[in-house]
Amino acid sequence: MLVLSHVTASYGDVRALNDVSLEVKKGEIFALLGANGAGKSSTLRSIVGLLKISQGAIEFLGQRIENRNPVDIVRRGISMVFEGRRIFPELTVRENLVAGAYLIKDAKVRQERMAELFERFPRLAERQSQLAGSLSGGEQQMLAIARALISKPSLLLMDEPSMGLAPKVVDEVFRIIVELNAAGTTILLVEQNAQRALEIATRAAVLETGHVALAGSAAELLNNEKVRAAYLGM
Amino acid sequence: MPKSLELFLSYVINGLIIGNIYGLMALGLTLILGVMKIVNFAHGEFYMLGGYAAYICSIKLGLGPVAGILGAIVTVFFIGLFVERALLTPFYSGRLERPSDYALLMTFSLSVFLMNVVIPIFGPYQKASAPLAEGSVNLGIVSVGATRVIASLVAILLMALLLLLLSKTRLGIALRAIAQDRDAAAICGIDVNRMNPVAFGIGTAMAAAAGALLAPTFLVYPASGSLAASKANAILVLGGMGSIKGAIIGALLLGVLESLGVLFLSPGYRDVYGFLVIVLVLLIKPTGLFGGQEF
Repeated sequence: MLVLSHVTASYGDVRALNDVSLEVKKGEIFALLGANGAGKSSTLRSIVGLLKISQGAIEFLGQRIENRNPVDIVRRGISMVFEGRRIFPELTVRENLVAGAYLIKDAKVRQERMAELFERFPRLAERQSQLAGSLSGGEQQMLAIARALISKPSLLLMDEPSMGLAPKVVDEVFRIIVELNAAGTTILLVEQNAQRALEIATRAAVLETGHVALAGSAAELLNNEKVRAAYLGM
Repeated sequence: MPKSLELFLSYVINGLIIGNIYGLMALGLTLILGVMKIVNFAHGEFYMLGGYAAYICSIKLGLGPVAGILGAIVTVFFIGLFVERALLTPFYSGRLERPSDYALLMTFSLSVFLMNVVIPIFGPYQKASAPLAEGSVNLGIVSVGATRVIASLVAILLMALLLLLLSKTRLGIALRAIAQDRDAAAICGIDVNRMNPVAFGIGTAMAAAAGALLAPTFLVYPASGSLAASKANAILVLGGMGSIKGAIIGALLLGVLESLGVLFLSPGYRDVYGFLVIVLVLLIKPTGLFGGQEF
């Protein structure tokens, strides 16, 4: 579904990605692991067109999408939940979703999608006219997920969705990821919590200083000595 | 009511009347800053162009004051669109090493260019556009020139329209989303770079409206935008860069402070009082009154 081949990208003089190749298959949860600064977020940013790549290719559903306008990429069915949630704090919950639905021109469809999401996230429905910045961390994460889902993406990129959340909320986030995946959304998941990510993932890759150091099925990585020592604390 | 209180209130009212026009100016600047992350140093010159457009429509073409204001808004909106496309697109291209410096130099140069390009066309002398109304309006304790009262009301109307646009329409929500988080807005499917000319056009049209509204009383001349621009910049700093609420409240505050300075101190320093207060505010609260609130 998504294929990165030999992707290289830099922020100014600092190389963020160095010859990254990976493939996310339709219907799976693909976990991307690695230490801080290994290039996990940069990989996601390059996929959605926020980071220009200098070499390599990115293919989505058989078509090249590298270095395109993010709007064009979102229109093809990719959406992203940012690290740190990145909701619009001075917009209300409802306005955040209206922004997320910007590409949906039909008002009726927008209303339907919003109603669906409010049904799925009742807390957001209760708070729909509150400023998003006033929500709790967990609620903000739900809003960030809802905002990404309103466009009904076929591929959802999630950057550290459990970061900074209470354990109970983390459980909920992982439950939602599994549900979404069961409902047919392919997921590329970047996580600090490697244990949890590998438990729900189909396949995974480990990034080290901008390139893929290890890749395989989630079960293989869970049992890999190096992964256990470096990322699972065992 | 005691005489002194009456006098005080009449100056407050006068301050609020001019404050609304400052608000129009500052709101346009805030919109541009918020969406584009550019401080438009040519904002005063769009105000000046608005004044000339009003003069041409209302006096030269004899279409009257309403056409003057509408003509100013429409003309400058399109000039703003053109300027953004022609001069400011490199700012977001990602090809510049120091885009902020580029924007500063470009808008500053544009300011000097526009100020000078109108001299051979209109001459250096002051022009007045058609007054919006005759006579004066009795506001209970104070009688104010009708043109000023109408200018102030039109300014309130235009600000209300902009706020309505920003709060109720999808376009407005998109503009605010961009101001708060450009990358997140892009991933929502909002074409952030296409919104730049929209913001710049609307922002400069607001300045033009302010210029058109004040052209009958404060007159228009090649450098007439400088003072207006410096006040709009000061209001931005006072209100907290990028805050809409801050821009409006800051503008009213500046209008009233200037007016009271004239009353209690000396009319000669009218344009100084506001800046003194701004310096004081910044010493105490460097982020401005509503700093950190975006849109």
